[in-house]
Amino acid sequence: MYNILAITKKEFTGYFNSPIAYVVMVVFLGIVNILFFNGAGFQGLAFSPGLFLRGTVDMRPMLTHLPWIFIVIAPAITMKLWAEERKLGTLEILLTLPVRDYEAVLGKYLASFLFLALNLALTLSIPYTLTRIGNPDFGPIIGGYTGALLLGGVYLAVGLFASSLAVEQIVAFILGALVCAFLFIIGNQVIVMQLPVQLGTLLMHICTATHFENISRGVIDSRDVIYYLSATVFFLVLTNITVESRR
Amino acid sequence: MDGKKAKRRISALTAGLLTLGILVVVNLFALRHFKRADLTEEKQYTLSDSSKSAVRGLDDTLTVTVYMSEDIPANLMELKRGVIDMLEEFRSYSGGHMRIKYIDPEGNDELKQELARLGIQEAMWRVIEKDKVETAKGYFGIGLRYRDKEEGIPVVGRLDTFEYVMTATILKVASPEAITIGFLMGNKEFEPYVEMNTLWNTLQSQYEVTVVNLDNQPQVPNNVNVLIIPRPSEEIPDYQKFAIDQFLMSGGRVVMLLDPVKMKQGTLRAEPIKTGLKDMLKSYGLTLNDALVLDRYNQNAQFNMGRGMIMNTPYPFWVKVVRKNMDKNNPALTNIDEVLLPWTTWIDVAGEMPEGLKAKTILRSSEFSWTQPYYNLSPQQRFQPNQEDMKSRPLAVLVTGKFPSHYAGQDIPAKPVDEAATQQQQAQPSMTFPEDKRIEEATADGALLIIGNAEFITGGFTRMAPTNQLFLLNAIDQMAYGDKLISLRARGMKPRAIDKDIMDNEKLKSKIKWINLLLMPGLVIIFGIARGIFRRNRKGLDV
Repeated sequence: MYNILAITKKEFTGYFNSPIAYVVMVVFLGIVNILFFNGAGFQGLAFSPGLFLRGTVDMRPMLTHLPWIFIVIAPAITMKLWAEERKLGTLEILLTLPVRDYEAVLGKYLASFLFLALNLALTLSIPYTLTRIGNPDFGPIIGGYTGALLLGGVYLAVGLFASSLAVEQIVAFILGALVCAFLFIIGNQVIVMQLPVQLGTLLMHICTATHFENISRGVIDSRDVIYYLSATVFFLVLTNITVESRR
Repeated sequence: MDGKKAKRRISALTAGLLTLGILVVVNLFALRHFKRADLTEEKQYTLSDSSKSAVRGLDDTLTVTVYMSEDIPANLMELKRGVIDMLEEFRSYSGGHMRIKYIDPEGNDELKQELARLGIQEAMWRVIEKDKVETAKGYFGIGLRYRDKEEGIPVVGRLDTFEYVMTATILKVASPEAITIGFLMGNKEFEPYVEMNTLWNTLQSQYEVTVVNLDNQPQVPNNVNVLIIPRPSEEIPDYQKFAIDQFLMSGGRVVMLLDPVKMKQGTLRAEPIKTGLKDMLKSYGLTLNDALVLDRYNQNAQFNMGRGMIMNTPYPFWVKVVRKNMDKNNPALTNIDEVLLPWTTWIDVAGEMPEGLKAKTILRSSEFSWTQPYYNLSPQQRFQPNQEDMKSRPLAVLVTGKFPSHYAGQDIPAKPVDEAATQQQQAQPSMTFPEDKRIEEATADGALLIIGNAEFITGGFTRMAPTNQLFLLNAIDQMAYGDKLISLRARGMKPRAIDKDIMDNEKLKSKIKWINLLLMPGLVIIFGIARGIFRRNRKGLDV
């Protein structure tokens, strides 16, 4: 446990020594706030209207965008965790230290999770604003943030796994983003409608978006929570296997 | 060395597969045994008390059969899951009186015919096959059986209204007799299936709906539970009023939608309506007025001024009843934020109601409302309300209790004899209320909901204010079932609006937006720079 916490601390503080982390945070907060308050449109068509155009104190629009933003942000947070060690040759040093592989994997994962949670915490200014201008329902807000942490947790585990496979950070980033996007869209109606029923149903169970929909409404369902935790554990085990095989 | 590598690979693969296997088993177990926590303030995704009490009230076995095709499109899986979850929740409150079966009717023609009898038919779904959008057919309906009664939900299409539909059907199948809503006709009323067709169709999905013509029948039929009087525009004769009076005294429920004026189509000219109901209402402690209510709380209206000119202006004749002017304790108004009443009149409630009756104002105009006769409805006039006339007025009133008879001590009014008809048909049945059925004193608690407006429920106004229809449906539910259904109908329909003061303040809106856009990213940048400087200085010191 001590080893895990030590690695978590080292990696977490390490984020703030690199300008990339600040870029990630500013980009994340910028996109989330712009989409929520300003909306997004094209040639005068608001396909995602801003807060005052919607006229309601509802967090759902932010929660709709969040999984898409995470597809890019989560692999950006994790891409350096293994890839950089391998590139700088520090992986070998790490592997020779009296630290078990799973401790290193968990330590790095927790650091990335804390960094993502910090990013999310900085968006709490949005619900705070909503409480000042109306009377929002806190259920979907709590559910939404819980869902975002769980979904983000899966994406970070995917990103960590991608990072353990790649030497270059950019390769880890692209690979991680592709897998996250794949997991997010495989349950999409356009896709599942073209598949045999059993396969479509299976994909909807595996799809991260299907489970997120439920939680972001404000309903915490044990099936969704167990799915997210299982997916996270699965990718962390894969990461552990990859790291072990590097010895 | 190679052997060692191969061994390691096999053990890694085994570990991976084992983890996957365990996780699959855990998830399969979780699918069967799960718990849900609904965090929403109004418990939107949890069974409401109305639904719970509907199944708790069962004293025999209710069999719920879900007829669902095996190859239901995968995009309906979420709906399927939601429906199954909700049915399980219904069952858990039924005290063992509810059984659920799942049947795929495909290939069973006999069953399909039986389902058609219940109104359950194949639904059409859009599917994409080989790059082409095609329609697939399948079943997703529900049959409910209770004692010797059967009811069907033809197609489950939406999850947000499913609980309402299910509870309404349970109440329908489990109530000893079907509840019938009657629409009075024969006095130039709104034709419910024309002017109020959405309301008519919605009611039909839940109740027996019928037309009551008191010109052809001397009394309100016994099976009618709620009688709606949808804007009569000519005088209702005494023999009909007598039948309505008797209906109220025998515990009947009446909804009166009374417009003070009839608008000439496409113009702002109106003619007054005389219904002849005033004297009868007086006996119930109510005074129906003729003038129109105008209110500072009103809806903007667009008027075509000719030559392509459109004028958009506040129109005080379109009274907007906002939440603070509603009876918040009335379940028919749960989650209704506003009701728009165009060209409405008001009802005065007697300071002392007749014995046995209670009146409750459920909608009222704001304290900034005044009155005006019907002959100038122009939006361009200078509205100069008399300050003394400025006060809040009851616009919809609910009277409950034992109704006194308006015709007490009088003979039963007879229908005038139609000479021509009598000559043509010698043996006409008597259209006069049968003497032996007359009651002198109320036998049960009746209810009368009177609204000084009917136009609000017609197409254009229900589109402008969707909660208008919801309000009336709730009110009819309340009349029909008491309060059993109302909390359900309005679920999920209440948008949480931004405060009006903020929406009207452009400067403040812009300020809120920019603070949010810049504050957090700015703080991160400042922190990053500060930390960079701090680290550089420390490094310098270290050197």
